[in-house]
Amino acid sequence: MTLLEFATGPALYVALAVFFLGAGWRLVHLFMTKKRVDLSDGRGANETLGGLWMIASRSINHGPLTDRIKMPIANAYLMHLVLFIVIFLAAEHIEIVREVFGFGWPALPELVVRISTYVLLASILITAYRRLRHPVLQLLSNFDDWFSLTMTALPVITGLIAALPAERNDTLVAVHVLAFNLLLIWFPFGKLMHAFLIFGSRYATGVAFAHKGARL
Amino acid sequence: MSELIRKEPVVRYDIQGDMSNEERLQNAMANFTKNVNRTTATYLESCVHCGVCAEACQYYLQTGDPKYTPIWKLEVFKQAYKREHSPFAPIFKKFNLKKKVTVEQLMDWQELLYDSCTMCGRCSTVCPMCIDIATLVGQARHSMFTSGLVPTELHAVAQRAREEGSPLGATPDVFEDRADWMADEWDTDVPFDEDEADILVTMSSIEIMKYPGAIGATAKILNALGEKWTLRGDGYEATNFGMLSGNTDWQKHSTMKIIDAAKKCGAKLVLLPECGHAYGALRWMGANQNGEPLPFEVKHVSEWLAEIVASGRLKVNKVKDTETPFTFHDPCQVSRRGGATSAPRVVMEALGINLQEMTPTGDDNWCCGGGGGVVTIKRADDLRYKVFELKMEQVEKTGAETVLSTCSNCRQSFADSIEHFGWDKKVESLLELVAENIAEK
Repeated sequence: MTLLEFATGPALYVALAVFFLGAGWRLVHLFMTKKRVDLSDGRGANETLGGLWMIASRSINHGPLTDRIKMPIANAYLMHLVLFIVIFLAAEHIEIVREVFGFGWPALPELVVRISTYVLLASILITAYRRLRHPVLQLLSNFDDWFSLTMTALPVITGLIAALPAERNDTLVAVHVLAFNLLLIWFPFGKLMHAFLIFGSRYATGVAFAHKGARL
Repeated sequence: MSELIRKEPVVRYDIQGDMSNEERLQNAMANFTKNVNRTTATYLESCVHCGVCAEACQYYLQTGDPKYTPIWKLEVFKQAYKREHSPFAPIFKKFNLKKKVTVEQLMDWQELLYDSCTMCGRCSTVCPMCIDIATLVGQARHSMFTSGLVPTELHAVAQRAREEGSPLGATPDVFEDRADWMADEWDTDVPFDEDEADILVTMSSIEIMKYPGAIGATAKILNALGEKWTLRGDGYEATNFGMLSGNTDWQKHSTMKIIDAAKKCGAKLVLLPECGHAYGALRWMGANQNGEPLPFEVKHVSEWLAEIVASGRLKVNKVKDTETPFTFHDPCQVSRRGGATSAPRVVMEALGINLQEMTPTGDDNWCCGGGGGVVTIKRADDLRYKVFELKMEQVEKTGAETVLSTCSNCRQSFADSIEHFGWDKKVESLLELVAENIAEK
C-alpha cells in the first residue's frame, strides 16, 4: 500500500468515522441536555421563524459595532468564503468525494481555486497575527484556538505545495490528504464545531428574542 | 498566554457566610450544574473566541482593559462546563485538560460578574454566534450567591428586600404614607388595598423613596381613564434584587408577592412601573417562578401608555415647548431585551416632543451603567462614572438639555452622575410628563 493509498483509504475512513461520530455525539449530547421551558406569554410572533431568521440575519446584521472591528469581520467572511471554495469546489476534492461517496458536483476553474487558496492562507495569517497582537484575543485565546487554526492551515499549505510541481507528486498529495484527515479528526473536539453549533446557538437566541418581540 | 497579561484585581473580595472554601466551591458548582440546560450548554459550547463582544461592551471600550470582554466574564463557568458537563468532559477531567475551578477564581470573577456587567445585553446583539451573554451572567450570579461571593452592598439591599419587602426601606406602611401624600400632592384618588381591581399597580422602591411623583402620575392617568385599580401593601415592590444578586429564592419571593396580590384582587393587568429589570423579572420570568402561565397581563408602564395614547383612550396635549430638544434613554431591559422599544416613542410623538435621538439609540443604545444592581456597589462607582462618560458624550451630541427615560433606576443613575460630574443636564420621567399633559375632557 502506497502512502497515497493509505491516506485516501484507511486513514481517510478512520478520519471520517471520528468526524461523524465525534460531531454527532457532541450534537446528540446537547439534545440530551434538559430543555428550558418558558411559561411566559410571548408577543405572538412565530418563534420558530424567529429562530430561523436569526440564523440568517446575524450574518447580515452585526448590530452596533465600531468601525475598528469591521475589517476583522470582513476578514472572517473572506476566510469562510474562500474556505468553502477551496474545500468544496476544487476539482480534485470533488473527485475524492465522488470516489468515496459515489456522487459529485461541478468544480470551479483551477485558477479560481488557486487564487482562493492563496487568499485563504493570507486570511489565516491575518487571523493569527490579530490573535497574537490584540489584547482581547490574547486573553481569550487558548490551545483550542491555536490548534484549530493550525489544523486548518496545514491542509492549505500542503495543498499549495502539492500543486506546485508540474507533474503530480503522489507523496505530496498524500501528505496533503493526511493533513486534511487530521483536520477531520480534530474537528469534533474543538472550536471548529462552530460550523454546526452556530445554527443551534443562533436559533436559540432567535426564538427567545422573537418570544419577547425584541429585534432579531 | 492569558496569565501573562492578566491584571490582579484591585478591588476587595466580598464574602458572606462562614463556609469553608471547599463548601463555597461545591455550592457554586452544584448550582451551576442545576442551571445547565440545552440553551446554556449550546452557548457555552459555541464561543469561537473572536472577541467581537468586547467592542459592544462599554466597560471594555471605556477602559481598554480586556478583562471586561463580556465572554471573559464567563470564563470560569466555561471552564467548569468543559470539565464537568461537556460531551467530552470525562476526557477533559481524566487528563486535567480543563483545570478544576477554584474559589480564588470565583473571587477574582466577582468584579467581572457584578461590578462590570449590567446585563444590558448589548454584547448579545453583536456576537456572531448569538450567545446571550447577559443571560449567562445572570445564571453565573446564582452560583456566586450560593457560594457567598456577592458584593456586600448588593447582598445587603437584596437581603433587606427579602426581610422588609423593599431594598430601600419602602415598607408597606411607608408606601401607604407615600401614596396618601401623593394623593394630596396630585389632587387625585390613590386607592390602596382594594379587594377587587382590574389593574394592580406596582412601584419601584426608587420611585417610592426618591421619585414618589410616579405614584401621583400613574394615579392621575388611571383615574382619567376611569379604571378600577389599586395599590396593595402585600404586593407593590416591582424591583427584584433577589434576581440581581443571584438569589433565586429571594427572586421568587418578590415575584410571588405581586402575583399573589394580583390574584387576590382579581387583577386583569399588572402594571409595572418605570423600572427596567422589574420588567424582566415579572414579564418574562414571572410565569416560570409561578410554575404556570400568569392569569393576568403584565405591562411596562411605557407599553401601557403607548396603547392608551395610540388608541385615543387617553388624550394628551402637546408639551408647551415643542421646539426645545429632548432626548430619550432606552432602558436596556425594556427596549433591547424587552421588545418594547417603540412604545415610548409613540408617547413622545403624541406629546409633540422634539425628540433628538442619541447615536446609537433604541435597541443599540448604550446602558446608563447603573443597571444589574451595579449602582448599589460602592466600589464600582469609579468604573460606573467612567462608563457614564460614554452616555454623556451621546447626550451632548443631541443638543438636548433634558433626558427622558422610562426607568427609575436609569434615572437615578443619571441623577447621581449629573451630580458627580456637575453636568448641566436634567433627567425626567416620561410617565410624569404624560400625567402633566393630560387633555381636559
